[in-house]
Amino acid sequence: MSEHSLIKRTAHAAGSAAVNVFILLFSLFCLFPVYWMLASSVKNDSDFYMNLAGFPQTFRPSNYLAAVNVGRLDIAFVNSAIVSGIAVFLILLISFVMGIVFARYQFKGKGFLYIMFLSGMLIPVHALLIPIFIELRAFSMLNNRFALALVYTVFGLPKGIFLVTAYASTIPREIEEAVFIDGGNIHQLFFKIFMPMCSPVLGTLTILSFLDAWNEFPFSLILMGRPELKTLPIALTYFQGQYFVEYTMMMAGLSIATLPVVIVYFIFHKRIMQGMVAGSVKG
Amino acid sequence: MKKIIALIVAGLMIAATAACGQTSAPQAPEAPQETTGSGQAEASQEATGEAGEFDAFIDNFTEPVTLDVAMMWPLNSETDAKSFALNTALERLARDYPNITVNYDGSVHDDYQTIMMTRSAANSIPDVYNVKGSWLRNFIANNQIGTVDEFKALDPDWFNSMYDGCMFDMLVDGKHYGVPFQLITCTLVIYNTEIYSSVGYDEFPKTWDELIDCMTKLKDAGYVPIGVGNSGQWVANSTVFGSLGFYGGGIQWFNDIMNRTGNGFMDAGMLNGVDKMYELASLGFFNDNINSIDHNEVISPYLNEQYASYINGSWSLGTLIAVAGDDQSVVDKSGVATLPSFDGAIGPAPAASIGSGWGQAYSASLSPAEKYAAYLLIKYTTDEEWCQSLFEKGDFGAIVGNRDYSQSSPVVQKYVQAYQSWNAGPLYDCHFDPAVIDSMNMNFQDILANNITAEEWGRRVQAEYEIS
Amino acid sequence: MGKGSSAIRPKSAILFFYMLPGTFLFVALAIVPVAMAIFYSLFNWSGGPNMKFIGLGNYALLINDRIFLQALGNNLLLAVCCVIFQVGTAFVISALLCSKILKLQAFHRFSIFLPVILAPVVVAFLWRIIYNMDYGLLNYFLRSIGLESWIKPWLDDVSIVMASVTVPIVWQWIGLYVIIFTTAMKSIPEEIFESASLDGANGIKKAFYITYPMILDTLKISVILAVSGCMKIFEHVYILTSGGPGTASMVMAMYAYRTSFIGQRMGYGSTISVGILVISLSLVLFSNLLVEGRKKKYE
Repeated sequence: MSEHSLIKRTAHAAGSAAVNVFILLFSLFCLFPVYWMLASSVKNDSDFYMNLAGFPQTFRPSNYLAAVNVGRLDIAFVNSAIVSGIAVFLILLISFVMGIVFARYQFKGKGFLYIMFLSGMLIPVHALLIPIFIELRAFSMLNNRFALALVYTVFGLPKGIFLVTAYASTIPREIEEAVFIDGGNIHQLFFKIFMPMCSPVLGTLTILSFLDAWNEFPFSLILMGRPELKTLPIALTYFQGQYFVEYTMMMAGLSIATLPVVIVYFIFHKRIMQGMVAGSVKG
Repeated sequence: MKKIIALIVAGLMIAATAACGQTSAPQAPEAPQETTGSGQAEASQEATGEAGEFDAFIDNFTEPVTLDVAMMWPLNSETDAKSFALNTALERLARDYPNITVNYDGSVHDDYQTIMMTRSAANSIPDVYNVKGSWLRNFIANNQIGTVDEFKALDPDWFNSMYDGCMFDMLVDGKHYGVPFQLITCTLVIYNTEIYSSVGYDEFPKTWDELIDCMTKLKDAGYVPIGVGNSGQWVANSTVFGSLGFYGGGIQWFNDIMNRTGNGFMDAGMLNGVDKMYELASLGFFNDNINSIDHNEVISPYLNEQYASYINGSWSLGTLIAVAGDDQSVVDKSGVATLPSFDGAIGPAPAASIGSGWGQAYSASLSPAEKYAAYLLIKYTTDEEWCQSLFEKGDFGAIVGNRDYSQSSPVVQKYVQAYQSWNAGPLYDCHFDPAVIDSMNMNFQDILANNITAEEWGRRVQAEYEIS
Repeated sequence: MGKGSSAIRPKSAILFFYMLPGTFLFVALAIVPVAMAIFYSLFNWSGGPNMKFIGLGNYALLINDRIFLQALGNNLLLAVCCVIFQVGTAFVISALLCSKILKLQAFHRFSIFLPVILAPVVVAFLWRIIYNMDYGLLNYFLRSIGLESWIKPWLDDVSIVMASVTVPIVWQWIGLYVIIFTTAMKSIPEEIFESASLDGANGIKKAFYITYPMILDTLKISVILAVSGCMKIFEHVYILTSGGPGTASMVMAMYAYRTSFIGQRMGYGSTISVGILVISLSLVLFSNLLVEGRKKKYE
């Protein structure tokens, strides 16, 4: 082995070590605040103040019990799951169908329609609180989980259509021809052929739209005027308002809001990542 | 072209509104003659004759009524005094009047603001709700709120027992539009007597020069002299400017703003008060993170004796005691004071902002039976029993009454003694236009960061005041 | 987007049927409300039935509004930071995640995506405590590595508050773009890299000459997502500073919210929102053109 290549390999190894350390630090930077939140949430006050960043020396799950009782988080949890579930289903279905049409067919007014949906991503939601409240009241759809899910659907659509359109336009043209030569119809083309091909982008979209719906605050606040219909983010404010001054309690409240998604993510993250990567079509 | 259509549509809308005979533009407010209250006795007399509409209900109220109620207290809080009192009141109401069904929607303060602004904009106001003093004019102009003076004849003892300064916050053009459910003092200094003694002040400084001297010594001794948590932005206005602005401008300035006379926010006397706030900040007497911590977050460092004192409203006393928990040593040696006056001040001293800020109100579009039910709910959430429930949890209703303070924390006893001897000033942020208040608040943060001078503060708020 | 019409074109009726439900919903719950907001913006309105028509008076106010212009500046600054640090960092990390140099890949993917799943409100509260002067993680960390002089009230200093607000926003979403990029990069045929390696291209060269052009479309999407997210950012600012101290960290959505819901000037608040929409739309179309133009250069 020549001296030259030895130097090159050493440099390479040093470089890759540096890269590894850098990314590791970055990963920890992403992880640590979340760890800090979870660790602080079970500490008592003196443990928190004396041992700020350390592993909890005390264990006080009562922080969590208080959070559940005060916020009636059990009810809110169910409401959030129902509303988010409906919204995610509708967003996936509608964005998929519309995204394919946008990506693969020409029709009159397509450019205008596409820009219209795209601009939906840019609407500042607080401008629409009053109009949507007035509109839904006119149709007697206030205090209605399904109506809230429809609102979430509408505000999830732009991102969904945008992502699916971009993805579907990379699918080769020949696919359609092959399907029609085999005697398939358009519905089969969409749901039997395109849908599996779009699975990576639909996977990403599932996560993103679920997170948006699960975490949404202002519409839920004004459209759900009954205690039995409140969603999780609203229920949490009861807790936050009361324990603002006690950081450990705050952390417990924040953790409760986060834990369900963290757990789901923890269980499914491998599948999500694999799905995204394996499902992606080559070239 | 589209614009033209929009203009036409808009024009039609205007015509339609005008045709409905809506009165807009609220009348100029009646100036209070004294520091607070008074002049209310005559105000509510005219309403007494209207009690007739309730005659049918007084002895026999069994008609089923459903009330849509929105307030800023969650029902199942474990520590909030208002939640506790509300639960008690609703239980009482259900027992006495099983025909009334209450659909209650509770939220927390900031969110309640969003909900009510939306519902007011959409003209979909709840039947009974918490109203803030500064919302009244707009709600009245839109016919969304009824006057509570109509309830006076139904129970004069209850109605007349409210503290004057609290009723004043619900008064617009000679009529009351809400019944106050609390009595708050916004400008309290809670101080650690032991630390103050250690720098030679056995009681809170009585003059501005003494205050500066005392604060300097506290700072040199390594303490944060005064903690304030102004991340909510209303805090500096409510709890600091409430006293300083009142010393500087007196009641005259307040009346000028309400009547739109005088120099508005360029008033030299009032600006003296703003300048004093600037001075305290520039000398480094406040905590460095004054604009980024919440008004409750000053409590922990105060209890840890890092802060020698803090400024907050009387609502913080309950939190202070609760957070201290088993170790009440710092709470027990706390004193209660108000900021001293300064040279050139025209308002009376010592003074603090005392009032209610908020009250219980009802929608103007209720049927007689609903209105009677609303009266009952409003009464049950403001009366002597309500005040007693609040008192049990360390909070105060608007009826002063005779309470047994023997079980109260010493700091509460000191507070009660102190505020009754002070001159009461108005709660500015419950009377001025909301947009003007927001501009004041926003620019107070700049004053506390020593970004702008008092004069620049005045210019900016004046600009907003002239638009509104 | 699709180039040219398909050889086998389904009936228009079927396409119409596919497009209808989504379009109907979107028009009913987004376009109509926006039209209502535009309508309100022509009025002096504090809520309720009382409305005073003032034509374009609110718009005249808006273009001279010191606070709005400052907020716009902050939004633009934020958008630039997000494009550079969020999308940029994500690109670098994704390139590394797709190479063989990096160890612990599964762990990195897990932790970098973790902030994305948190609610913006949770992130903001968490960082509010991290920034706390006395009990915050940041100052604790600085103290423990001997940088006591760096300790600051991070959200109180007017000159750095925008940076303090930007960090959590950038931090939260890097993982999203990492996922989007790695998905796109894995779809680049392996053979291209192999032949490049034979030609002696190193990692950086490969990233720049192969990966970058191949995922340009994805990059475009990411830039648009990042910019549109920044233009309407709200929760983080609301909880961290409410736009303060003063107006130092004011952003447009925050200002619109305060004007409508705290200042009770719903008419002017709607005007601000319409302003946000118009500005962001032009910005996105502009950045779209920009990326499109660069793409031409590579093709």
